Amino acid sequence: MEKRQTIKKIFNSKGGAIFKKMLDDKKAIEQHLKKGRKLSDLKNKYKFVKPLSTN
Amino acid sequence: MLNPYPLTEADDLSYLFTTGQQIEYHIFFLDYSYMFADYPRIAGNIYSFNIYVPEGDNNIASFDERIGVTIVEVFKTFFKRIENVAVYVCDNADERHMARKRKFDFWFWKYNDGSIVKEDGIAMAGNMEIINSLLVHTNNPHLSELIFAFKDLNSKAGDK
Repeated sequence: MEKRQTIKKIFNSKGGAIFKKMLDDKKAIEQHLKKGRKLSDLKNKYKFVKPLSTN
Repeated sequence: MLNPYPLTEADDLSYLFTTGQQIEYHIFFLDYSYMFADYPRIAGNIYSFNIYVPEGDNNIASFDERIGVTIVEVFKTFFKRIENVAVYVCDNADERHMARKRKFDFWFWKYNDGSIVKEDGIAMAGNMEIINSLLVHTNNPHLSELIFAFKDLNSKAGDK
């Protein structure tokens, strides 16, 4: 009996590492907040920006 | 038309709005201008858009349409500076990322006045699929180049 094997080809996108970093950063920050810690603890680790004016 | 919830500055780094059910939505942006480093003309003003809901985002799928109106209002404010570019990645931690994307797409489809262009992508990183979107103002002078670069980043490494 012929045994067939499915091989799933896995490739990386050119920007895969960038999008993964973006996702990892998001998750790490959310985990930090879930522990009741403040965003300001992370201000030297990530480049937070405030591009909105709420005035 | 529903009114957006009032957006306030939560602290020096993030924004906040509270729904009628007293659920807080925190919004923060991170600078990822380096993501288009291979395209010097458009490298800059690239920010990731993030929503964090301390109580969990089950409410994100609720019928509170004012949440969607508020998110779109955030983007309208964001795009008052036409050069601004937003990138959104869907958190895949709990297998609900497709539901989040559908909700985000619905909000965009329903409340966008046509001034924002959204381009969707799926990036592969190892065996992980990362669903992502690019949002650009229609009048951004580098619109075509931004979309081209975004598609390029999502394309298979080695493709030309």
